[in-house]
Amino acid sequence: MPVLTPKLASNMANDVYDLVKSDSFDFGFEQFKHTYGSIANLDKSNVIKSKTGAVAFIKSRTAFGLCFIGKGSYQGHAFIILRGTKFLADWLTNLNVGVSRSVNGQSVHDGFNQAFKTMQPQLAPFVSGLISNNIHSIHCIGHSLGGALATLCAEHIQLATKRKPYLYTFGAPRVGLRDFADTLSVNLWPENIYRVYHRTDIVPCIPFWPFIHAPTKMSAQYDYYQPSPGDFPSGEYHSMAKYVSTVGGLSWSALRSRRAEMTNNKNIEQWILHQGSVNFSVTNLNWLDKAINYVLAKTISHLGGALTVVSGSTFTLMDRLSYILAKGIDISESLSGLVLGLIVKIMKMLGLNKALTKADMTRGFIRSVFERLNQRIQAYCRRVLDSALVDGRSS
Amino acid sequence: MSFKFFSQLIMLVLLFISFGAYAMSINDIGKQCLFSSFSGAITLNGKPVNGAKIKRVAYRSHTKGDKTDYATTNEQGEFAMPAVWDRNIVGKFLPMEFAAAQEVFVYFEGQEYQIWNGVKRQKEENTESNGEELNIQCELTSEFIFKSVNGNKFKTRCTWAAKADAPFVIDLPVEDN
Repeated sequence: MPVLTPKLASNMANDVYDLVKSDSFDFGFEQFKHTYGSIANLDKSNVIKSKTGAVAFIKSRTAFGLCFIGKGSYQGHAFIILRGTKFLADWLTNLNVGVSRSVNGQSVHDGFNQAFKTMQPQLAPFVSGLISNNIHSIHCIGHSLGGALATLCAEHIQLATKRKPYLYTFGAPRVGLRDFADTLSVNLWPENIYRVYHRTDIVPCIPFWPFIHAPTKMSAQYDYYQPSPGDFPSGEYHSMAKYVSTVGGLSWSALRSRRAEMTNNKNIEQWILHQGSVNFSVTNLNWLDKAINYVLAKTISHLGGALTVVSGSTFTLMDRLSYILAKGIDISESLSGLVLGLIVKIMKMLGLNKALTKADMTRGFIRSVFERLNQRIQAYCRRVLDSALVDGRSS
Repeated sequence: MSFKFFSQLIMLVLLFISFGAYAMSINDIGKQCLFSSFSGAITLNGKPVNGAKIKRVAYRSHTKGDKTDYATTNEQGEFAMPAVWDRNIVGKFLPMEFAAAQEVFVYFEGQEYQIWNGVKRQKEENTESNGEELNIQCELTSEFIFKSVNGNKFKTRCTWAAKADAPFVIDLPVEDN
């Protein structure tokens, strides 16, 4: 089935920000109609009258969305473009963020989930109209927090309509845990998930483990990694304008080809076990994230049901992390080597070149290493602040 | 289940994105230009309007509310208004896209004319005019035009020197898998 080009998807994700409060969204809507009126039924009167889902505004405290049906060369297409509000951003930074069940019963970020659930009643007429309007292609689009909402929206639409929507996200954070990402990958198909992210955009890296992006199947094949300069997280490379510029007029296959390195299991293991020095950079933080996920997944697959002991409420994520990794030491020679390698790697990133053996890998020691990593990240952030201020003064 | 450690990580990494090219000094953190300095001349049927009241509304980007100010034209129909700034620590520290709505109205001889409606998408000053001062010429009887400058979109009766963005051409759907 035909999909949107990267240029059209990214511009729509960008232009939905123009629908800001000046006079009941009139101006932004008029602008949107000016740009997309030739391919979309954007009759403002349908917004109020709509019972069949021709056009819909979705407004809640945490989210905003614009939904409409295509016409002309986009006959049979439906568009759902979402963006988050500052209240949703508050959720993302909530220190007590939890996991709750998505509409399909999967484990997702509770803040995103609550935000999406507030949208659902307003979305319902449009979604039910998708079937009666003979829609064959449904496009869910969003940037940043809007990308997280678009992801949950795609899951909902697939469940409600039994059709496979296309999901286009730019700089979106991680939405759910492994079960969610796996199920979404199966239900949407990996080739229908267009997740574009810059290397130095930190938002797609969060929330950290155990949150994970979809697609998990064929993830190397359908990866829209985009290089960005420097080795430092960049606010500029999170902005939607930068994504529009990066995408330009390129095709999806051209964007896929920009993937820098294939992070298959083999080279993740190589990164963990490589003896050389390793600095504290955004590149290595990304590798570290993959390495933690890889070693944990491998350990968990061996532990199986024994893990229920750490799922209680008294265990923090750091407790779970250190418990699982410490268990990995006892499982097999190869796995214990990976756990040791991972901890040594973190220590090297921290500038600690202490000789370690497997006997040192106690739960308490592993936890202390992760605590030091946490402290180092704090210090790293302070340097980013100082650096930004110095750069600013000189500009 | 407590997410203490990784939640802290989330908070910390969010800080990474907070410090971009916008920062100019420690006092400028979170500072946003909602509407650049705005000057020009207004005519009605080709003649300068003298004593017309100008109302400018600059809407905040991440929070509710606006900043409204006024000016009056002189005998040549000219006016000048300073830039409108806001400070928003929320937008500085959270991954929020900047989008500030703008409106300008002219009141003359008992009539209201809306001359400017737009959305400013960059926090720096003068982005409405590609870095130059925003100096407009506005004929109140003119039809509205749509103009996009550096990604900032406007519907206006005014003209100004900034080069308009190339018109957006909509691609056809593609088979790309």
